Amino acid sequence: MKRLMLVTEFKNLWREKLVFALLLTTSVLALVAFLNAHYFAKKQHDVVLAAQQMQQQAIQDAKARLPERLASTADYKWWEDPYDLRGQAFYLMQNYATKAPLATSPIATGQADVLPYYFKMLIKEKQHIVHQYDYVHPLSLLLGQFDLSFVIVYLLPLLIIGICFNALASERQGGQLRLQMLQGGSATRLLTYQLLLRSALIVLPFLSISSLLLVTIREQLGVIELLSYNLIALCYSGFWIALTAWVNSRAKSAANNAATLVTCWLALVIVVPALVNTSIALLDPTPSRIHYIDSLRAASDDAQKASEKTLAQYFQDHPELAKNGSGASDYATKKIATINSVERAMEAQDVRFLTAQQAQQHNAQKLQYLSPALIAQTLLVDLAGNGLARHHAFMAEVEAHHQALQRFFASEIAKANQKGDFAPCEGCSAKPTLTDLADIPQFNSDFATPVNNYTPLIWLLLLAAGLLVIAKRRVNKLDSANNKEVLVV
Amino acid sequence: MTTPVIQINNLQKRFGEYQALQGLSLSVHQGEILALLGPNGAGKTTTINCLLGFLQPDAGEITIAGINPQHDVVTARQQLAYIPEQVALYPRLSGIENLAYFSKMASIDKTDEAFRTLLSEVKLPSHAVDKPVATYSKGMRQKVGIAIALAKQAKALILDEPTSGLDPSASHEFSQLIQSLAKQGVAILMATHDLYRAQEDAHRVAIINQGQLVDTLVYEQLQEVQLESVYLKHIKVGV
Repeated sequence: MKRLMLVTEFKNLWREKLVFALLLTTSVLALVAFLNAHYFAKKQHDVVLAAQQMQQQAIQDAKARLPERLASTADYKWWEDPYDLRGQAFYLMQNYATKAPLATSPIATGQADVLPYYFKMLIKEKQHIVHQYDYVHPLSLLLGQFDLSFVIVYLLPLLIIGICFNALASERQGGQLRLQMLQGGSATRLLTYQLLLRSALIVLPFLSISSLLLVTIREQLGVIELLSYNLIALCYSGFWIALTAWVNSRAKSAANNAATLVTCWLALVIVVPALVNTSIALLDPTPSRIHYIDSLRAASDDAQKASEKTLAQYFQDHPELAKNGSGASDYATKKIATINSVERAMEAQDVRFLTAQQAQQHNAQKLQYLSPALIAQTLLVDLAGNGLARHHAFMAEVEAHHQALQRFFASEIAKANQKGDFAPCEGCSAKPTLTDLADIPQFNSDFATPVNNYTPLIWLLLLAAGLLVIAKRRVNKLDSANNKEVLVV
Repeated sequence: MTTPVIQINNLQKRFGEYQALQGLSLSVHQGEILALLGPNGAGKTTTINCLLGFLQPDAGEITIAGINPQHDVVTARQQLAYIPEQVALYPRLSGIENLAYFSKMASIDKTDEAFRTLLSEVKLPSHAVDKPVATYSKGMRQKVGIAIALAKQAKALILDEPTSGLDPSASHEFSQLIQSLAKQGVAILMATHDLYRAQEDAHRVAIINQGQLVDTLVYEQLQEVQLESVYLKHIKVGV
């Protein structure tokens, strides 16, 4: 019976020229969505690679030219001298903190197109380095790049609705349901097989093609990531299939089903996410970025005006770096002291930003349960490594690296200063104070990526199961005697 | 007299304020054609829906080959075949595909050749057998419907306005097929407005009005009376 119903349903769809159109549509969607996001990720990957190569090249070049520099008696200006700690620290350093796209990146670009994925590190206030990008909440990027997640979240439900809205309703209105039931068929079986076959015609080709592309083109993709991608897409599609079953089980006309399903799509995919975004922004607004930049400028001005006082405070905080006896200041130490002072002055503002971001993220995690689209989008973006969790890990690593660089240069500059290396004799040029650029701390680009939380999938499955139970109960009634709905012809 | 294949006793059905059936009793025996006549709203379709198990009567009893559809709708349905005014087939499937689909659904598995023979028996033109039903005339669709009933080898056949909209030639062909089924022992209940066809084909005619049986004419009476005048007399009386 199962085979008979599936084969007949397939014949019906095939002769409507629907199967071919669907296969073509889903294949094209998978291909275009994958390639679009893949090339975006590749571009980012190339930039990251170029930065890392430049960093290594600078180290190699410095190594190669060191003998020439040591033999030279020319007058080097320290801010142009790659072998001067101060020149490296404040102007010349080729040191990058990078977040390379993961192999799963084409699944969901998420916020990767707006959030920074590399930093050129210098000894400046961290506010100038790591806080120079606007914070954009991931949920507000739901309508972003055309990638696999866009197709899964927006288009697959529409295709499922488009092909399944008249399941059972068509037979009920056309009278075939009566004949089938008289021949021993059942409305429950008919609806089940119709929905399974029709949705499989959409979901399976899309997932097959996109998975194949991911495996072949994104070579580092692991089995777990691939399975996770398919699981998320199947659970989300499963919800829409269950919703379609529930709507079809009401025994209304096909037109009524279509209108109801499109309304559900609009509500769950567009309206609720929009409301959630608005609420998140209203509940915990981030402080003004303009105000932040103004405060940064003011703090820098204040620190520079009081540079001697700032330096004194700095040496009080770091007595090990004070020059023996004299306490006299040089440019580099003063600058580092100023940077520390500005960073301290900005700490409260940084905390306010961080608190607002964390509160928004917390609310986003709670409110995503209102819409299956938000759940699917969040999971796919996290799986792609373009979500906030991985970005926060990256930013923490960037801050740690910035601090390591500051510590390194502060310590080395102080040592050089104490030894008098910056001015070895009256009228002499500064001698090289940094002969091996590889001594500069390097960014650890293999920072830990947080483990994705798949708990929201359970909610999605529970919703789908609930809808299916109600649908089954209703359609079972059609199978029993005394059902007026079957009489409608 | 044999036990009736279709037995209806004191059937009652109400839709809100409207009493559709008021103690209707009928029976159809093996190999018998009973024409059920009555104006629109007389209760013909309600009776059929109760027989098919799509409606639960408020009172009274129905049996089909001894099985009450109120108690065991699945087994009762196995005993009967049904041909409505518009046979509901899948328009994109061919005649033979529809026949095979609906027959296999009733657990009747025949070879492709056997299905073709059945369609040939109901005089479906051979050139149409493999064409989509969407291209069929109403008469051709009715023939596929009869082939489905034939394949099922049902004990009872219920027809609802089967000749409505058929041209005289198609109507005649349909009549021959019905009579052939009756000769094979099938009990046939035919609800119709076609008085000519009723008089020609039926072994008995039952006239109902306002959910009640108002007259029954047996074969011998049908040969002697003008059915139209009897029918109109009862309908006017009923009104």
